[in-house]
Amino acid sequence: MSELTGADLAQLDELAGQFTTAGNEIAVKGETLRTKIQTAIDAFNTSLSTLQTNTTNLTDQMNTEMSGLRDQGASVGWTGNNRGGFDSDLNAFGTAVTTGTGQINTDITAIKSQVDTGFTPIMTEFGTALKAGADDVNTAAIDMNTAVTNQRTNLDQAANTGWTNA
Amino acid sequence: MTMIGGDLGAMSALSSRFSTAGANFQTQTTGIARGVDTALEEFTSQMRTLDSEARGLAEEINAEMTRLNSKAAATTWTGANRIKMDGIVASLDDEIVAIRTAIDNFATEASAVVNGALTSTMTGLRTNVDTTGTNATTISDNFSTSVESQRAAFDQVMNG
Repeated sequence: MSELTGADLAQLDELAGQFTTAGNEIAVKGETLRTKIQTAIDAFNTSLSTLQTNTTNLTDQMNTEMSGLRDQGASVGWTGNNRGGFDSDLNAFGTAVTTGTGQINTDITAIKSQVDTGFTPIMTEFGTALKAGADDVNTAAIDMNTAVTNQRTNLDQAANTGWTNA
Repeated sequence: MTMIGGDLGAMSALSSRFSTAGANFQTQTTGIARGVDTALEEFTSQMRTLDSEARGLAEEINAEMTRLNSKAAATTWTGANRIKMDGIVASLDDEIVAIRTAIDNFATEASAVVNGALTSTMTGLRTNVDTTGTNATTISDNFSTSVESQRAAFDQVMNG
């Protein structure tokens, strides 16, 4: 027995259409996801910038407070060795405050840099992979549509036209 | 001869000033600490949601490809062109799997950044903010107490 050669034309059309739709939808959903993650990173960066501004303000406020304490301390009539100890401790305090706030600023700058170096390559790589994937899906879907359409046309031609009355 | 002593009123005021400064330092650094917590919590929460969304999308792609491959297998089409068609279907399948893999990798790498170095540095920042605030407050309070003690000592010696 030989095999029947042919195809269900409606099924071929539907199959080609569904592959094309699926490929495009997946690529669009991937891009939407990438955009959402980029938005989350941007919002985080904005929060970090706000924190940096607040920390700079904190540094200014603490330095102002320290200046006020030094001025007020200097204006107090107070003598003796303990006064020397007070002045020395106050200087050490000022240094500790400056070091602490400086470290906070350094930390925030480091975190912003970490976000850039940590996420930028991942986002770029993902964007490139999605684009390449979407392009390839599109190419394969076009090939498939072309194959199905040609097959459909040829089959239709072979099966439905050209009959010569016996 | 050098006179030893202090202005008791001014020392009281100085002691109060230190006490107030300590409270201010605490308030200011607490505000920064809260900002650090909020920023990290919001970001990790968003990334957790997106990670879940990415994994859901990967599952969705899997299910869709299984469905389409079944549909392709069930399509009535015979002859040599069917084999060519199967090749194109396989190629399309590969490309969609590649997209799914890219999504998986992306979600994994993004989670690693959030849960690894970033969280660690944010925690370090939080610790430094706390330490700076606590130290400044404690030292201010100590100054307040020391100046007040010195004032009391002068008062006792001279007026007691």
